[in-house]
Amino acid sequence: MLKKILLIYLVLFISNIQSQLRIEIKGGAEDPISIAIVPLEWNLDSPQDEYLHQIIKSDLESFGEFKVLPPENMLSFPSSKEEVFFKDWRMLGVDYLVIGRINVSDFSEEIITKYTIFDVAREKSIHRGSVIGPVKTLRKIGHKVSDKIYSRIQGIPGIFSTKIAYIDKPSTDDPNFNLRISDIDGYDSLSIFSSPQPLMSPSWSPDRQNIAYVSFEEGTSRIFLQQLNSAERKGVKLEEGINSSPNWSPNGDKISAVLSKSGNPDIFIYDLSKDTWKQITKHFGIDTEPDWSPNSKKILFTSNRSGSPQIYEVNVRSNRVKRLTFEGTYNARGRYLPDGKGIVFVHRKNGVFHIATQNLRTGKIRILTDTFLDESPTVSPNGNVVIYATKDGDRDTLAGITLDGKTKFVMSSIKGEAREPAWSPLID
Amino acid sequence: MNYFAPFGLSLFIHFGIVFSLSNIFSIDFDSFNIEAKKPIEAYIIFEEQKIIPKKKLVQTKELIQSSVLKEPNKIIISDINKAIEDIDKSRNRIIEIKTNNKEILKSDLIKYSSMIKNQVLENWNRPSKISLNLKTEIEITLVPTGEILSATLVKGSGNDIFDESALRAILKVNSFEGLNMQMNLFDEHFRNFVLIFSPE
Repeated sequence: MLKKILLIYLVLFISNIQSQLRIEIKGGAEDPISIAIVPLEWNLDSPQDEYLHQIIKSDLESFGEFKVLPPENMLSFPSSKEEVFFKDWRMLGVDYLVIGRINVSDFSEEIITKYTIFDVAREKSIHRGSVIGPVKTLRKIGHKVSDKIYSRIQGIPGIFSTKIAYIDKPSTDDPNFNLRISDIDGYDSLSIFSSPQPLMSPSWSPDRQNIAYVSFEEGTSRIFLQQLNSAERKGVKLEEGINSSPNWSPNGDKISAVLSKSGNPDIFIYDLSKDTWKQITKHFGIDTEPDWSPNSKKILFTSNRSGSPQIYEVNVRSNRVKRLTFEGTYNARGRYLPDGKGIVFVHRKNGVFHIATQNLRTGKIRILTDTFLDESPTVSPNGNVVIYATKDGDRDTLAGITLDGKTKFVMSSIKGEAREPAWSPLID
Repeated sequence: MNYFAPFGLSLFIHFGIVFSLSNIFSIDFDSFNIEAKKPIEAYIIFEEQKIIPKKKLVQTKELIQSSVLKEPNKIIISDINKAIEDIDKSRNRIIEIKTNNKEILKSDLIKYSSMIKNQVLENWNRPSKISLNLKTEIEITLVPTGEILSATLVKGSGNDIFDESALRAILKVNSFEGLNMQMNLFDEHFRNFVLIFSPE
């Protein structure tokens, strides 16, 4: 026994002598990641009118997180691993390299894109994948590859295949209101419903198959659900007064909305399977703009119950209300971040409307945008970017900013008068 | 009943705990007492001269060593008194060097650690979308020229992307510049050490 203890004692003593030098390295740069996308080998008879590497480049560069090496600076154009000389790419200062080939797939009319991502410093392939699709969906294929590159390198999902729904107001080109869906870069815009009466507040179902929105086509506001594939639509059970601001719950079985049948606007929940409404907030103030928390347990809403518009949170089960914003006299249109730890909302400061975020734990507000009339923020499903409605001169348009506030962009490819953007969930 | 043995045992155990804890808490290399761990004997200094490549010596060190360490070669044995005096003199000088060396070692440890730190930081581009309380430990093995022989992930952060960014930084450094240190300092601390990466 004594020997054992002596032994332990000795081991501890020795370990004490041989303590290793430990150097702490804190911080690290968060510079844009340098990546090379080699023009993919095109093995089709038909000529190429769009280039995959350009689509990927514009995707990856859109939020300032990547710096893509232009092909004219490349020393070689490898399309297989054997042709890659890592030394060359290291010399060009590239961290990652993407190569690939586009071939005719075994199914007719479709192409198969095979690609490999290399870590240049470690000289090894870190991801290999393939995407199949019709030639005319090359943009879609490119977005899919971009998503994979993004998620492999950044560690969070890519959002280049997600969509934005928005309301296109009447303009000189089109006298109707249109509910449109487009890629997040504004391309491939498609009107899924058109009406001479106002359309408002699109909200995606979590499976991305349906959109809920408000239409005034019956003379009064009513919430409609529309299936995207079949274009089939149906009106939700109509109640007296206002029926507005639908917001689909993350688990898909309920929709929160604003009804005024109780005398003034309050938050209600519509049960899709039972076709019934249930009142959640009861207050003489106006409660509006609901948004479900990511775990479907709470709803964020705007209320003027304290005299000025502020953001509140209500527990769906207990109906207990908690005020979240205290800074300033106007905080509205709140949206949860996907991790549920913060919110994005419209904050008025010195008479100007900004998009701001608030950390729900610390209560700290950070203003993201500084243009004049920013509204209706919607958060990307990976929690990285906010797109909002703003003014470009007199025109309503959409713009975006990363949540770190570093990169701003205007969705210039969106034509018409765009309002009320709604970011789709991730799919796969 | 013998009460002395359990008392002795408890004493041993407590000493063991104290020693093991002192190991955990002595992370700060500023407080490393190299002297205490490995007293530098006078003869090591003579050995050292053989081992250290000349070009790697810092100017001041070279001066001390050339002026002092060559001295013993000049001792003329015929005059025994003078020889004793010379030996005494050189011993005094050796003691001098010993204390000098101790200071150099302490400041050198900090100097070379921060050199390594800076060179890694220059090459470290970490992912931005990560939790800020990650920690990755990578064990580095160097050769005296500063070249990195191996980098081994000893304790991952749980986030592969973060770990990879740290490994990539080390690979990009490839070889540390300016580590012109004494061999014993290198052997003891820089041949093998741990880099701890954290975002904040």
